[in-house]
Amino acid sequence: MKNVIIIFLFVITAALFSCEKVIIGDEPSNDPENNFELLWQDFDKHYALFNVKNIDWDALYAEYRPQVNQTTTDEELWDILTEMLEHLNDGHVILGDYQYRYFESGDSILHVVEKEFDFGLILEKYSDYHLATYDEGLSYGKIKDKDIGYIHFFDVEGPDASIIDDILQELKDHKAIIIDLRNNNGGNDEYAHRIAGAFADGKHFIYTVQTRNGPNHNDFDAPTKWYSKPEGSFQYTKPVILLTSKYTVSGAEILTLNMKSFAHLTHMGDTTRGDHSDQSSLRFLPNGWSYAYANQLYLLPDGQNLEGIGIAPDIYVRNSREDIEDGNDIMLERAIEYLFEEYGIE
Amino acid sequence: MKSPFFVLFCVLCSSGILHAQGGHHALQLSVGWNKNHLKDVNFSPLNYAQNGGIYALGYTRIGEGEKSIFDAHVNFLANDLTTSDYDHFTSSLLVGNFHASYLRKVNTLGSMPLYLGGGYQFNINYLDFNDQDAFSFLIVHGLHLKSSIVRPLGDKAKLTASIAIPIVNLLVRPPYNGMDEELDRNAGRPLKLITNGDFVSINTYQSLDFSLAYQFQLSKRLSGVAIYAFGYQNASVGDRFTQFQNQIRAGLSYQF
Repeated sequence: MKNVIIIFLFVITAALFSCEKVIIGDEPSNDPENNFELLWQDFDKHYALFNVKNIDWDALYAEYRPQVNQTTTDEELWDILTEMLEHLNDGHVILGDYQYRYFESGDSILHVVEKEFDFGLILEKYSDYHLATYDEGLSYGKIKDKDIGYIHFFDVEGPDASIIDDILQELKDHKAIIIDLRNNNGGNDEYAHRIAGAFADGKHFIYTVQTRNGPNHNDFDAPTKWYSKPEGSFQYTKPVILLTSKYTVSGAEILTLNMKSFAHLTHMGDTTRGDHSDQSSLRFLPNGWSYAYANQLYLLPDGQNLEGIGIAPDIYVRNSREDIEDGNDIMLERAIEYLFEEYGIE
Repeated sequence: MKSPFFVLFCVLCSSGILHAQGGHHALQLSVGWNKNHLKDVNFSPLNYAQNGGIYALGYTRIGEGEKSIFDAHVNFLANDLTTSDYDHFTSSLLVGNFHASYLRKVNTLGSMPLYLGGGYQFNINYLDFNDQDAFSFLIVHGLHLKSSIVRPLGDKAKLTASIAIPIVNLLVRPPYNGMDEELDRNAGRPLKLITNGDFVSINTYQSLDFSLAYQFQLSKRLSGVAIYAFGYQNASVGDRFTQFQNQIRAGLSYQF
């Protein structure tokens, strides 16, 4: 009896050691049709912006699914999927193959607009001095021959957003500050809130966030309210100009929404990109590709949606490519003029 | 609702301590190799595997006359998590387990004492791709039934087989595909994060832990141990999580 029990235990142990496929299940099939289906269905269940962008996802399935079969090549599948995803016109919708292909929905405008800004021109023509910080995307300085500080963000993320407190200690004696969010790739909301907190003139309700949580395109959890509010030991409440362009994206737009709630801020430039939602985690396909999408819905306090629309400036001004090639940043010059016209700051 | 877990943990600990007179204690340290297979649909539709080292620390209290066993142990591993086809999907996996149980001898099969009891277990699995470009986790607080049978092998060795099956579980999972506002709010509150879950029934969460331990006496106080352990858990609430792991460990046990 005893030996039987011991043998039985060893047999169970040996069996358990070799049955992972039975327990875990087979790998998902790596064929063009299954890759298409996995991606389409994931978007169908979790993408947050079908309704606010008026996207008929079933109609896109009907259009693109028949183009995929078992003989579809890798190149063809890439073209089919990216063409389908381009309809979403959403910078948080991405597809990559980890080799040489990377797709971002609706990014063609960024390639145009990024040439309408030249950071080197700011340094050479418009700055008395300009300093880098340990936060790679953040630098600051002083506008040439003016009592105006200048801060540029290439992104809205970094090791510690409270660096803004140190920068403002350097710039606080200037009569105004220009915050430049042009050619900004975005970042994270927490960082944006903390940066804005250094300029806050009070607490303001700025937007709500809801996360998609069900199979229907309008299934969302309860809205969470977000506020701009003072953070840090010092708030700069003298006149501030915020410069944006179409290449002011995502986290930079959250920073814009925060900043626009302050009475001492004037928003100048062009309408932002219109990609407010957080991006989902990366998702993986059996063919080695990965993708992501927007899984949240941001709405203004009055319920207005700005996804795909962007945040309009108080004063519209936009550089042309030729302006930059000629060595003129019209947007920055207009901001400097405005500070003089409105506040007599020079 | 979550306090019963804490109360039971305290009862278990006090059981072991109260029965300390007349028996003996042992501390056990072991290291070994763990092979993990898992699928977490919240993280990815692909199957993943992990191979690598595992570390375990345990405390055992054998009651007078070997009528009871109190056991508490922790396991920890942190390794790469790989898919079968793509190096660029390699992620990281962190596993931590804490189990505490109290068993009483209920019968003897020939010369083999049979123990039955229960305990508390805490398991965490955390998956991460490229610094949270994708992540997922499964955290379980459970009350389990446990049984052990001990087969003496001469005067200086014994073989112990144990099996534990959870009966009540609190399951914590992240939202599909990343952060939601609640997870965001609790990011700086780890205690809230690891307890902010739902009680699940056996219909939606199943788990099994089995171990086979061979212990041989090296000296009066020191023993060598060799352990095989198997763990399985499957959560079907929300997005499916299935994990299956085998491990072999070797170590030393110090009796005092």
